[in-house]
Amino acid sequence: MVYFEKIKGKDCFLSPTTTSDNKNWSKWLNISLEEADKKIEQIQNSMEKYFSIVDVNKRDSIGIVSFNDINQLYQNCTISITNPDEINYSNGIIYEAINLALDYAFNCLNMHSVSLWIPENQTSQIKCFKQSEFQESARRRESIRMGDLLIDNIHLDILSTEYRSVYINRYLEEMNQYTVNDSEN
Amino acid sequence: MSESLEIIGQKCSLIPLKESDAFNWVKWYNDIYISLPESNVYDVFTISNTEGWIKHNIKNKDIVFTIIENQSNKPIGKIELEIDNENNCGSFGIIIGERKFWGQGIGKEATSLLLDYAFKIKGIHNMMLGVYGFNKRAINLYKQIGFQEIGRKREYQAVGGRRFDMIFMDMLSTEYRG
Repeated sequence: MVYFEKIKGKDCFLSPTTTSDNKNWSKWLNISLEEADKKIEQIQNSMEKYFSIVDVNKRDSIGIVSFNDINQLYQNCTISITNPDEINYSNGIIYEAINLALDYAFNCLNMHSVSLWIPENQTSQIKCFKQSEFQESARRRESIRMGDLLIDNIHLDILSTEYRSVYINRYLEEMNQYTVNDSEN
Repeated sequence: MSESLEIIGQKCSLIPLKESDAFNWVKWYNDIYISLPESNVYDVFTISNTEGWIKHNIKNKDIVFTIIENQSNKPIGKIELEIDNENNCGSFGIIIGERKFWGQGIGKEATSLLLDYAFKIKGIHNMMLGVYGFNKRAINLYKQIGFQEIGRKREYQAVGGRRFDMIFMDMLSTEYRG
């Protein structure tokens, strides 16, 4: 599979999702290969941004991070993570992927706010988002039906002013060094 | 939505949306007092594109009612309900487009009529709404009806160089006093 290091971290990088990831999508989303191809082609032609989270060591995609409902006027969007393997919540890869994705959202898409609604029982994912400085800003009561249970839906958000760049700023600093050297020569 | 469904109150009634409502929508949405709290101020509304929007609503069987003021028998606003059947949840939005009818309790009654329909007929358990932090009149109305603030989408929209929160409010069927 071919991946491109669009936003690169230590343990993972974000690569634009392409149909070469169709086998993973088919497995994770429990759909056929044809449906996965169709879905990926649809999102490639949409305003939404989907990235494969690629494990640097395995050189394989371990999940998806996406930005949906992108509103350039209000400068906000929602974020979503698909991670089929629980271990990636605790080994730091998803945490790093969220931080890389936020860098893209705040410093490339120029968003002011990134948010999501998430059922309260998805504790590992919530913990990861809170580690990345998301904060619980609302709780819709008894709004998710899980069999006989009614659970809360939690709203998490983070503002650009609360986020510190992990990738883009480093790039800009490096570029700035070249500029200074050039002018000195 | 049933084509014939009408909900009759004392001051106002809710009747199904019609294609001929486009003119009123365009008039209302070109009034900044209406469109700004509705996040529609950036869009340009014409009869043509609004007719398309209404046709889409009708074709999709979206639950959109025109609010009729009973005394004059004229349309003065609209109210819509969106339902998540999987989780028995709903959300709604209301505008009283004819501003001379503000402050007469019509918005409150129209909202109560819709809640009655949502909780008692459609079996909704949680009803939610979002309202901008600058829209104090609406926030007070929702609190009077029994909604409670459950949180905010912080600094959601910039208006006049200031950012305002989107306030989320909800009500459970067990809390409904209708």
